[in-house]
Amino acid sequence: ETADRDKPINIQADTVTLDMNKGTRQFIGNVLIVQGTLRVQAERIDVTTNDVGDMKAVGVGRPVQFRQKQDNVDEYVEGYGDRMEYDSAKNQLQLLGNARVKRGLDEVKGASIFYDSVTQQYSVKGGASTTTSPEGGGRVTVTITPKPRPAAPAATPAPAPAPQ
Amino acid sequence: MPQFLKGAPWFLVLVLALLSGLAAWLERVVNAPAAARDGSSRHDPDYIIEQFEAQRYGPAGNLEYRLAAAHLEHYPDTDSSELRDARLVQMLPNQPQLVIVASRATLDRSQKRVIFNEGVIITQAAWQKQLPITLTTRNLTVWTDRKLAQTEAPLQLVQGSSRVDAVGMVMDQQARKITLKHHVRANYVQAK
Repeated sequence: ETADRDKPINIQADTVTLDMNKGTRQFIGNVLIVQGTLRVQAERIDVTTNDVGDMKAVGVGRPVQFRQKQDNVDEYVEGYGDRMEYDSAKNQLQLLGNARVKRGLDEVKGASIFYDSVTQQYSVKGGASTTTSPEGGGRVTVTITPKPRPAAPAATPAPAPAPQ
Repeated sequence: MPQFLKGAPWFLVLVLALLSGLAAWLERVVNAPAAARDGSSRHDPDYIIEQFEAQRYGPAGNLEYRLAAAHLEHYPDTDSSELRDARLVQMLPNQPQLVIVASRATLDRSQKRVIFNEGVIITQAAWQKQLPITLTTRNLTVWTDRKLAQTEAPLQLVQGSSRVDAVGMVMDQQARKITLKHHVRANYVQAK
């Protein structure tokens, strides 16, 4: 949700290392980031923050997972990827490597997926065809599941003719 | 079995054993070193300093740290010093100043290890674009020569709008890294 951007960011992990030279914080082990409805889970996340508290995070995992509620709809977007880059100021998130995003029953797969939770839109890029996946490379897969049509109202039986 | 042993009562043998044991014990008691009467074996201070301050310089002549205390007592038996209201200020080249204060501290015989206890507060000054850091914990061991500090106690670290709670920490000033070892809970609040 757009309101997530103004919510506090909570991070849990096994350990964290603050690097004073780079100004980064490396959270390692069962890392969980929660900001409003946004949840990100990863093995390791490197975080940099600026002096007003905006955060940039780069996460790796098997896979990295994120989940966020949509505005005005009781529906969540879920994303998975080998690597994730998140910018809390812009509310943008990028999944790289075996990227997959699900919204309701619809699903998108590609090499990388860019998701903007302000506009609630995402763009997908296929990966360059590689020797290991020549057929699958370069392609984007989108699965859109039609919403079940509401059942037609039951036909009302025609009124019986009046007796002569 | 020889004839003379059959008849010999075994309690005579027992009595002889007891007597020889008694003799050995008496000899040890009589010859035991006399407890030194000069008090050096007791844990008593041999000197006390009020408003203590020590400064250590590095090989290049730069001031590395300043250790101060309102009250210091030196104990000859352990060759260690107990400090009250201790304060350690560390200054390393190209690094922010680090200040550690605590209600009590112990300077061990090596003079290079300080164990801080009770109300330990570590403050690292702002540096380049980084905000100051304040860290509070129960106890902290500092190796002044190795520029290392460590605790296994719960701690809280505050920097700007972020706060981190954890258990256990290693602060390596040479590498300029702080590692919080267990149960890390970080909270960032956006400045409005």
